Amino acid sequence: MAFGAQEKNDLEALKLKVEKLEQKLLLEDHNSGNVSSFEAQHLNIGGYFNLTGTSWNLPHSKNQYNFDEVEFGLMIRGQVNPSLSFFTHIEFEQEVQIINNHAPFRSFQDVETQVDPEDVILTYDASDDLSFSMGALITPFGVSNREHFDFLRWQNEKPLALRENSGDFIFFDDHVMGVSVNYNYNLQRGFIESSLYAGSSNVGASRIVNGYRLGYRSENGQLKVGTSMQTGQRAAHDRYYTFGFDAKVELGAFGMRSEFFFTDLRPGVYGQDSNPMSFYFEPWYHLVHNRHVLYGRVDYLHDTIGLYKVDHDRNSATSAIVDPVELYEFTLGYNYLPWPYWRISFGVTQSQYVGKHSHLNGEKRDFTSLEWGTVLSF
Amino acid sequence: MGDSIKFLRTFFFKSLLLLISFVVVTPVAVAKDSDVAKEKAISKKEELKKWVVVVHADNPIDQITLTNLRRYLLKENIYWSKNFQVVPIIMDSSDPRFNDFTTLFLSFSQAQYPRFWIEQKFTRGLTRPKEGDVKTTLKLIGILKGGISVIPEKDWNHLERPSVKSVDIIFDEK
Repeated sequence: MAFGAQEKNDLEALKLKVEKLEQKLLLEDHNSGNVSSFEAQHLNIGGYFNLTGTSWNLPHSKNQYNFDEVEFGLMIRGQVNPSLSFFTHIEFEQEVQIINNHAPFRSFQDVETQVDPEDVILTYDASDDLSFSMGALITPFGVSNREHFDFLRWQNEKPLALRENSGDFIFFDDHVMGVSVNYNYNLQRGFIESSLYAGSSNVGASRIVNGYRLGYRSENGQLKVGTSMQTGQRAAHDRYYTFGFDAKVELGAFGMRSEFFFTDLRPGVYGQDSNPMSFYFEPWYHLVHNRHVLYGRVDYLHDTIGLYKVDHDRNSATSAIVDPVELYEFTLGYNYLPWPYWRISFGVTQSQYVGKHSHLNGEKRDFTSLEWGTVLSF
Repeated sequence: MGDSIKFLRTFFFKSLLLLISFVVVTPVAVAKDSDVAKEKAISKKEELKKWVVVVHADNPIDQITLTNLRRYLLKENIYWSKNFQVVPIIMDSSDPRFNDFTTLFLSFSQAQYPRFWIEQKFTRGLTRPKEGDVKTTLKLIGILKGGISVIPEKDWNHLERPSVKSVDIIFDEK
């Protein structure tokens, strides 16, 4: 049966309609998961869920057990136009506070609930290489601070140099409210990354913090090395200069992270006998298609200014005292990832205090802790 | 203060020694390894022939270096030119050839691929490119002008290719 001209035209029109319909379906499928927004071209939502438990075996006091942290992190990124984007990371957190952190009778205290806008960043990409950011920024200091999200660590507890110390820090401010200029220089194999920032400190808003990081990242991101510095003014104290070196390497199934921190303080201002210093080395090994991870960490901290100054007298009426400490932490742990975005972890840490402050009131401060937890990234 | 300065001095001195030994030893090791590297490069070039880089027919490019291709697929570079955004589409990760693809074009294994994008999500707010079987990928690139993908050459020869073209890969690795 031969088709007339009219039928042929109808058939062509029908084919075109089917093709357009197919294209529409394909595009819808391609854009599935995208969220509609008011002005942004794209809006992505993601985040993580974290539950952590900790127990301490204390030789001179009652052992402690607790589910000490539940956290929900919400991340939103919006692309307003090809050059302008924003990123925000908000933490909804319930965390058990620790008191007498370096005492042989350390213990868990009340649960603190907080909603913390960790990162609120507006970025203008002038090109693939140059960008300007402003807002509440994570300071680009080292590897662990830049990759500070729970899912990216093998255990919840950060390296000693990065832990919170009753609202203050030992080495550097991990967040500022301010501006940064970031430049990536494309090499034949990899990138030179540099970031210059200035902003108000989160601890004492009247103080300005400045810093710079220069680093190299390989083409596939499996080698990162860099050096960082930061200077600012501590509350009621003098100026500090902190320097750091960092490296992260992934070679097949092996990987390792290592960082060194050093703060130069004006002698005598804190009554300290030397400057704070810390380093850690964290190797790991992947087994069975990255599903199992064995990791270790050797961590050292010489906190000469004793910012962990919580009430060392068991009588809570006594005021806090300054307590310089020097300690090593030796950690061995295991992670199981049933899926790439779900991590179950278990780790054992031995804390050993050394130097002239290794004892408190004649009792050794050493203890063992177990940490278990799970983090889901979505 | 004195102890720390002493420590830092030792630390820098040892690092410098390590760096000097690295600089001295590396050229000798490199010379020995150069033949192995040449063989690897030849075998990689042969492997590349089994794959085709596809873009929309209106895209002005005719060839692409392996380094730039990797940067587009991993969203390191996101523009072809001003206001012309790159849309990478990756082959289905359940495809048995996916590990060959990631090893050859992205420089890591199939098992490392999800972890890479989880890290990108947290540190740069980026999402992983959409995946699709070869047929769907070709159709999508025919619609999306900024689209780019890498597909096995075998499949390329057996499929309809409306509004899609292939571009040459320039091997620029040493």
